[in-house]
Amino acid sequence: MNAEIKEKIRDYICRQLLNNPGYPLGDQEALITGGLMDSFSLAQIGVFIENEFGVYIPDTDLTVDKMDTLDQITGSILSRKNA
Amino acid sequence: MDIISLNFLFFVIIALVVYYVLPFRYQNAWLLVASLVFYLTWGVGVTLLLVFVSLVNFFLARRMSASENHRRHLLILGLVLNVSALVFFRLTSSGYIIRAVEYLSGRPAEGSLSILNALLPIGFSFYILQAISYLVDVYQKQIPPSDNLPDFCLYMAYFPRLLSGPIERARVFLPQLARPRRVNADAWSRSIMQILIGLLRKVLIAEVLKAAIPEYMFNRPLEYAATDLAVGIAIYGFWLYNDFAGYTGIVRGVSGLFGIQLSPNFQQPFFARSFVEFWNRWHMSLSFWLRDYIYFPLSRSLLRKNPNPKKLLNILVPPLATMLFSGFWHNLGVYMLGWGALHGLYQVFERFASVYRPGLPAQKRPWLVQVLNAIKINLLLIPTWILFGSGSLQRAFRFTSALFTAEGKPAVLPVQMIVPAVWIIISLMIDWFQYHSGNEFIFLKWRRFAQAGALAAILLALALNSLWNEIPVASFIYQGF
Amino acid sequence: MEKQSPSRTLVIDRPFGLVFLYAILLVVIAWGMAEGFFRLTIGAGWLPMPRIGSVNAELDTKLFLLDKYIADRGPVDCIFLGSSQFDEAVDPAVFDSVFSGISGRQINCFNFSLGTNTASGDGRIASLLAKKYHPRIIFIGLSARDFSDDFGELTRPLLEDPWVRYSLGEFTLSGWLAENSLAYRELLTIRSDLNPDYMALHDRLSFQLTESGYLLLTGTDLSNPKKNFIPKFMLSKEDMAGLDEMIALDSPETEMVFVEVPVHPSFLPFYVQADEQAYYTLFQSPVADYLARSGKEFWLTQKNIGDVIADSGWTDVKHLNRDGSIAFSSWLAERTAKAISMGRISLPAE
Repeated sequence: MNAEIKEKIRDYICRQLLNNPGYPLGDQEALITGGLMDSFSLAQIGVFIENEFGVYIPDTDLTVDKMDTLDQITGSILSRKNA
Repeated sequence: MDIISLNFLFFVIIALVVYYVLPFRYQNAWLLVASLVFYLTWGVGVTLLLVFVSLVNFFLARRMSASENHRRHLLILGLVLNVSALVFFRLTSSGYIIRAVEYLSGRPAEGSLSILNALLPIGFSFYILQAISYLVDVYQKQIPPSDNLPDFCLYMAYFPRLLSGPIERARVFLPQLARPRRVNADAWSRSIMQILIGLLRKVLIAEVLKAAIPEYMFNRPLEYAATDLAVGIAIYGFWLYNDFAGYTGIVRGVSGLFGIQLSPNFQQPFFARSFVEFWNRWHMSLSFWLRDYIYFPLSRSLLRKNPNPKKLLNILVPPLATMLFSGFWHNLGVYMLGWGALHGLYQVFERFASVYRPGLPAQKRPWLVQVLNAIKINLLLIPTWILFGSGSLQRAFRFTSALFTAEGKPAVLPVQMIVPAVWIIISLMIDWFQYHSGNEFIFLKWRRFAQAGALAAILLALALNSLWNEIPVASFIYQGF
Repeated sequence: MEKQSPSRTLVIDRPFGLVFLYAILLVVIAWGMAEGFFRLTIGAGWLPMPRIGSVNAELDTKLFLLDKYIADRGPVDCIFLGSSQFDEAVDPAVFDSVFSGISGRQINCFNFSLGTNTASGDGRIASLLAKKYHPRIIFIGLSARDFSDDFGELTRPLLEDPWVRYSLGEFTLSGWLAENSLAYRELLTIRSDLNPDYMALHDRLSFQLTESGYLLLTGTDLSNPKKNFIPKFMLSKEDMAGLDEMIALDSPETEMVFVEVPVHPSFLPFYVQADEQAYYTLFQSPVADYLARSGKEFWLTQKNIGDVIADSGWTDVKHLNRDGSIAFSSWLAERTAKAISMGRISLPAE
């Protein structure tokens, strides 16, 4: 499930946020601090996660500390799914 | 009690000594007492207001958490109360209400109506945002409601951040109060470093830059030459930055001596390569508050209705609404709404560009392009400084027009720009070291001799500044007699 | 091993404060080296003496000139002090020459008048000069404007200057450093060099002031705006206090001589409340009476000034030019020599 979630997120980010489906997004690549995602992208991905996984990530958790890498985003989703 | 004063220094020393001696269980109470004493120096009324606001929000949050059925209503009540209070004080301090009352009644507002001329209590804008964020976080169950009234009051009244922020989040601040603090030699070094750099920025750099800005450039721009105005507005942003960042450095350092970390407020904003990045680096505590409590809720609400990121509403509304609120929060004048609208529009344009013409993110472009982008952002900031500093839309337009047409006698001579230019370079160098290393405390990693040299220079500069402040300034500009 | 306070909040876990100590040491060493360098170079004459760096460029310039004057000629015997009117009225070189021609004795005089000065400034500066330089005579030039609150723009702030206060006996750190540290004075000089208003006045004075402090002006323009120069005249409390201070300085060691500074006769009807009589009744007589009560004479000049100074001797209706100052300085020297010969002023034997 971990891998599935991660791949869906990766696909969404590359297609919808980066407009570059072929982009080789790494698991540890800095999305926010690396400039690939901004506030609007975070809002978009927040809504995507709600719709796709039924998980609500609060606005105050859409931060660099918790959403900067694919691994962190996946972890945020899993922790709420399991809670 | 001003932060830059001997009184404040003695106050902190006394507060610190007692704090270190007290066992943990009494430290928070002591800090609360100290904070209330500090605020009392600004007035009994404002202190009572702070206590009242703290009590209302504390009990509202507890009620909200205890009552599932009425949570939403109580949140709305809390938001209405807090925002109404902010609107009330903004209206009274801007003079709108009293002018309206006098216009309608046909006579001056006196006696009990004089409350309508109330000034905004110092620090109110900051702690009211803290109250709002607390209520929303409790509502969203991000944090449990505090069951410790003194700790919650301390969250609201904590003296280092009381006057001008940073705006703290309960979820970050309250846990610090709940556990014993340890202040070791490293913490002291970091705190002293923050205080010294803060003093350097606020007492030295900001004061020199303020003196270099033509005094009446917003009120009477046509009395100056266009070059004076250009120089003045070019310096303005640096002055504002060093003044505010200096203050933040000092209060964060003071707080660090108590073992309590306050949020950073600035992160080398003049190196931003986009406006989105600028607002992640300038007045960060406010910026992130606006992002979390206005921008994100609005964006997500619109995206849920229509997930297409290219939809006009999705692009326009969130940044504009957020920055308009920011403008209102600063001041209710039309000019500040204009300031907010301009910043909002800048972000809208950036959004359009990234949606319709996506390219490499700013950080991944060649360094020369990054430098040019940073210069571009700083140039585009100039109209926003004009609005921010002018105090009225009319003065802003007059100033802008005078930038191109003023033919007054030049008041600013090149030799007068040497010292301000040196200080701006020093300010940028401090920023550069921190930016390049990604470490606010990079100076503590320098070799001891280099640290001592920098410290010696700062101490000497502060000492000379203190001595030279005694030398009077002749208000009469000698023209010949 | 941790050192812990009873509350365990403060934990000094390593030596702390070394960087601070090194910084203090660096400041002391750097300051010491700078001090040594400047004492050597200034002492050897390779660098000029740095200025005091006060708010008033003319004060700094005159101090510099006076110290140089004393270094060249020995102690100063008499000092002239007043506003720009006295600055431009008295050439000490002419005074010295005429005086020595009459009395047969040498005298060293210096003009320390300061533009915009009033009586309160005169009082403080006179005290400072008496304390620092011990002149035998201080001539105070007084005009009606010297007693009006409307004036004194450049000299009233001077009285708050830390070096001036220090020189008058009040300890200020900045004043102490300015007196005792050449490195600090160099910094003050640099600070004032970066002030264009200060430097504009300093540069102008550098070529207008003679080595004895006289402000030399040429040309004549007697156009009179015919306005009420001082609409509401009153002897201000602050300036009367300055007069008291000057009277109190009078002693066997330092004679205080009070001289009326004249204006052009055509200006007199517009000087004080647009009434020539008001000049005499509101200024000249009250000041003369006040001085007389303390046993001091007010040397009057206004009534017959036309006999002493021709129209061509005025640069404007309030100030004398080169020709006028020669005439006035000569008159003053003659008057002084006469007063000495009659025992009204005493000068020690040479």
